[in-house]
Amino acid sequence: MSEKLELSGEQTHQEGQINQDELILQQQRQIQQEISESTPLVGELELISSLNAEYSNDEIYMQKVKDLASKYKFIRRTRPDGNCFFRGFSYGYIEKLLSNKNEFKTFYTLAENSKSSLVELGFPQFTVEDFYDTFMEVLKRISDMPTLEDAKRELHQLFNEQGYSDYMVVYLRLLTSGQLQREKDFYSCFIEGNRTVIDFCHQEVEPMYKESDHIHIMAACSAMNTGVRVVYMDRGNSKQVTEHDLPEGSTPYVHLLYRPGHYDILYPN
Amino acid sequence: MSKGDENNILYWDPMSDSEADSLTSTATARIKKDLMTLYTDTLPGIFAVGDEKNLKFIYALIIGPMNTPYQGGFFYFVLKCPNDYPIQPPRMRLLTTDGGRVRFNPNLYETGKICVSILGTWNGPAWSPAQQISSLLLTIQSLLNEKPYYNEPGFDKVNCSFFSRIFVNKYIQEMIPGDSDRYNEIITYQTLRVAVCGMVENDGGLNVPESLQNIMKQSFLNYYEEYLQTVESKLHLSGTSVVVSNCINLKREKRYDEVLF
Repeated sequence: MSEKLELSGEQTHQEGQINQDELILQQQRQIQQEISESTPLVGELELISSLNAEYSNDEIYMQKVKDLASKYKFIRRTRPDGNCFFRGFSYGYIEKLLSNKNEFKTFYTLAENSKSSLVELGFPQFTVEDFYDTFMEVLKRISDMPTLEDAKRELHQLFNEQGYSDYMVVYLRLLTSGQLQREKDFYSCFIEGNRTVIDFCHQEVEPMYKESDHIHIMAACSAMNTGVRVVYMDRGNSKQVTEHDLPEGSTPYVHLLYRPGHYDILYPN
Repeated sequence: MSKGDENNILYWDPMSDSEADSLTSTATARIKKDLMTLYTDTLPGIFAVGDEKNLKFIYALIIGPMNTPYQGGFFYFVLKCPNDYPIQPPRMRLLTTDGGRVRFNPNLYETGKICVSILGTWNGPAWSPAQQISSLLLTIQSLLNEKPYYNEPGFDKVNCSFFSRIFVNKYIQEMIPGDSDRYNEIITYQTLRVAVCGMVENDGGLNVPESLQNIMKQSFLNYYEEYLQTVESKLHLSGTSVVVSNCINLKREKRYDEVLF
């Protein structure tokens, strides 16, 4: 008996096909690399008017920057690597907490207790531990600084060290995933398609470089017990930027500028 | 990645990685912990050892699970962790391929490339830093299942042109009736030839670490009766020929009577 199998697996494997896919992936990696090399993880404070340079010939955007400038004084840019919400949010939140010792202390206690609740949800103790330890180390190092200035400098420095910065992002992603899973009945209605909350966490929350949506922000805020105002700026026709407070009805503590695909930190007047 | 690497499609390959060796301290600690869990919480059929000289390298052996065409086969892998592990996943390669001639699975190419999303070599859930080497090896082990013909990527693009994935998964069909069973016959044969005899006799001249070699030798003896049973049950196929892979059109006569006797 002579068999000749046309295995379907082999068909997707033809060279032309594979090179296409490979090259796209390759190109994505390369673009990511180039972005990384050209933008700091978290930048310095810049005036809102610095946005004008990006939109010098665009009436709609110029109008919106003007509106933004009436409400906000500074912007702090973050690296557009898909982690910008988590990085910007945690930076902005910790920075704000520094000016209020009691609030910082409350948050420190919340963070201290967060690991055991993740382990209870089934996250492996030892993988969570590394990120937790780094997260707590950063909080401790900042709070140990003698002055507010020093603390802010330390925060900025740690958030620009890839190792620390990425571990902060990872831990916040895990906390967000934990929050989604703990309240999965509530969050399941926000997930499109046939995915379960757990699938969604594995696919869109826990992996690095995955961009964040409303649902990530809501869960991250709940996990940190705070609120975020997201200021939307796109090419839509209105003359003003639109604001969304997440979770709905919360008092905004951190302000973020959202332009399609990217978040930066904002500082109110 | 430098400009010159633009067309380098071996980004997945631990053997052609040009990243300088400078593991971060967190990565070093984490790799040690990952290995430690593999020793303390052992997983059936999964073994791994680190490299004393270069912590970035991990060598792993997965034994084909019972009641699958991979039963008792020795699948040897090399992993290389990036400097910022576990932010990024390791690179990973299968070396049990009969020198690049056998594709053991729709996801396990004859080049040694492993197509799974957590390695970044296929679409789907990406690697997460909360994962570890043992969870990665479990994922790879799950590819060695009873009906590998139905694994992605074999079915992803071929049948999905008009239907959503969910729809297709419900109505998944063989290209030609009987393909899945025929595929299993080929894999059973190649497992015995390449992943059992070839590995135990080290036909490929692989530098398998001694501790993993010892596991293979011991397991070979334990599985010996099963190997014999498989060969005896397939003797009627002796002399049939198969197209092993339509990419390379290697024709090989199946000689079950020569595999073990």
